[in-house]
Amino acid sequence: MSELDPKLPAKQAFSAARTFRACLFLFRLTLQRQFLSRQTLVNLGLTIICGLIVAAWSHRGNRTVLGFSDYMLLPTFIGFLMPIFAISYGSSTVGGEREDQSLIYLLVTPIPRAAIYLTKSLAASLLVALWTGGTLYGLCWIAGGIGQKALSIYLPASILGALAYTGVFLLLGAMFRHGTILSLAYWFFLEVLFVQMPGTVKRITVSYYVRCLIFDAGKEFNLGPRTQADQEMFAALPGDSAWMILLGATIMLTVLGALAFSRREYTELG
Amino acid sequence: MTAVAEAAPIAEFHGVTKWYGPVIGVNDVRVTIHSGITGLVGTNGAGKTTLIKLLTGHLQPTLGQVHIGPHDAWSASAKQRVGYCPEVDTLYEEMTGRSFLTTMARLHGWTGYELRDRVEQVLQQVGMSDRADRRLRGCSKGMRQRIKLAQALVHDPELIVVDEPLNGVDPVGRLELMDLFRALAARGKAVLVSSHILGEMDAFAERVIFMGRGRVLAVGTLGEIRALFADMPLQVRVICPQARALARELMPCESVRGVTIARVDELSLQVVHAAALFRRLAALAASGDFDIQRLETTDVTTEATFGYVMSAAAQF
Repeated sequence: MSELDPKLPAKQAFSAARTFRACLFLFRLTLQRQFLSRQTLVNLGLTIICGLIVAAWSHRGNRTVLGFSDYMLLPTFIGFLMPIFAISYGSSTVGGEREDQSLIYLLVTPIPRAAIYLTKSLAASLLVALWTGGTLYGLCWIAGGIGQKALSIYLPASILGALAYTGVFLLLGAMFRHGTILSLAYWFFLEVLFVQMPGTVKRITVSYYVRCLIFDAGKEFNLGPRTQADQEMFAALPGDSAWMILLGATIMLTVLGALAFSRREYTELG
Repeated sequence: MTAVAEAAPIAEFHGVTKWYGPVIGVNDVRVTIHSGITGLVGTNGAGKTTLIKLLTGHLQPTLGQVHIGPHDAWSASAKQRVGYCPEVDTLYEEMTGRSFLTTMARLHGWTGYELRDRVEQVLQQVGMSDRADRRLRGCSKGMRQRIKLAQALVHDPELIVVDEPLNGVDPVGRLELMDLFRALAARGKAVLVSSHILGEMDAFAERVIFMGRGRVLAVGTLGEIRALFADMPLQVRVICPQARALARELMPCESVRGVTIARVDELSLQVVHAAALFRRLAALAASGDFDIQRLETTDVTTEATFGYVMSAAAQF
C-alpha cells in the first residue's frame, strides 16, 4: 500500500468516543422511527380491543386470579399481544429497513456493523418491553384487585418472554429477506401450534418457558395444568430453569444476530 | 488494457473476483481510483453494480482485496472515507431534507456547530438550501437525488461513489451537479460516477473504466483508450471553406484512409496516424491557402470508444 496517497492515513480516526456518540444517536433514532410508525398504531388498536375484552370480563361475578389468568391473560396477552408487540418492532427494526432499503444509510456509516445491530436491538427491546409492561399493567388495572395479584406473577415472565421474542424476530430480519412474513410464520406454526403439542417438542418455543415461569410464580393461585394428565402433557420446568433458559436464549439470539448482521452481504441494497 | 495513470490512488482493487453462488459478478479486477472524476461504463450485467458494492463495503470479495486508503473496504474505518449515493430512491421519508442530512452527519459522529455548519454547507453545494425543510416524501425526483448526493458528501469523504446521479434531474440541475463533481475533483476528491447515459461521461469524466462480462476492459482517459486502437481509423471533422482543395491535398497522405466531403465547407476524414495528419494540416494552415476554422475528432467520445472496446472484447 506504499503507493497510496500519503495524506489518507492522516485523516481523523473515527474514535471510540465518536462511535459511542453515533451509537447513542442511532439508539434515539431507532426508538423515534419505530415509535412514530404504523406498528405503534396497530399495537395501540389491538391493546384497546384487548382492554375492552378484559373490561367486559371484569363485570362478571365470581372473578379469581385463576380465571383471569386462564381466560384473559394467557390467551389474549401471552398468546397474542406480547408476540405481536415483539413482531411489530422486532422484525421491522432490521428486517423492515432491509425491505424498504433504508438500511443502506446505516451500512454506509463508520459504525461497526455489530454495534449497529446491538444498538438497534437494544432500542427495539426497550420499546417492546415498555409496550409489554405497560399493556400488562393496563389490563391488570382494568381487572381490579385480582389484576394487581396477577401483575406480580406475569410481569417478570412477560418482559423476559418479550425480549426473547424480540431477539428471535430481530435475528430473522437480519438473516432473511422477508423477515416480517417469516416472523409471523414462526409465531403461528411454532409458537401457537407447537406449544399445544405433547412431549418435548414444545421446548423449542419461547411461549413454553414463559408459561413455565408464570405457572411457577403463580403456584399459590393454582395456575397451570391442574389434572395429572395435563401436568404430564405439559411437563413444566422449574421456574429457575425456565428463567435461565430464556435469559440464555435471549443473549444467544442477540449475539447470533450481531454476528449474522456483521458478516452478511445485503446484496439487494443499493 | 490499461492506460497510464500518474496520481496516487485513493482506492485499489487487487485481483478481485466476486461469485454469487455459481454466477460470477466480477472477475480478477485490478483497478485503481484516483482523485478526479472517473466514469464507470458498461452494459447491464457488466459488473458495475458489483464493483460499486465492493468499493462501498456492501460486498466482500471472494478472492482478492479492495482497499480504501490503508483500510479494507468492508471495515468500518474505510466507511468514513467513502460517500455513497445509491441508485435506489429510498430515504427516511418522514424527515425533511435538512433533518435527514443532520441525521446522517450524526451517524458519522459529527456534533455541535461543526455539524450544523457542515449540513448547511452541503445543502448549499447541492443547491437545496432553500428547499431543505420540505418532507422528503413530498419532494420531486430531482430534489431527492440532490439530497441523496448531499448525504454522500456530508462527512467530507475522500471518495464519492455516485450511481446514476443525473436520473430525474432537469437539464439545469444536471449542469449544476456536473459543476459540483468538477469542484469536488478540483479539491482532490475522487468521484466515481456510474451512468448509462454515455454522453454524460464526455461532459465530466476525466478517466473512464469500461466494464464488460465482469471484467475491466479498459481504464484511462478517452484519448488514452482510443489511442490503444491505432488500427481503427480515427474520425476527424474539418471545417474549411476550401474543402475540395483541402481534400485534394490530404488524399495523398499515408495516414489518411478516406475522405468524405460532407458539405461544401466540411470534410470528414478517416485517419490511422493522427499526429502525421495534424502536422500536415498545420503546415497547410500556415501556408495561408486554407482557412481551417474547426478541427475535431468525432469518435473520441465515451460512446464511440465504448463501442471499440466492446468490439475488441468480443474477439477474445
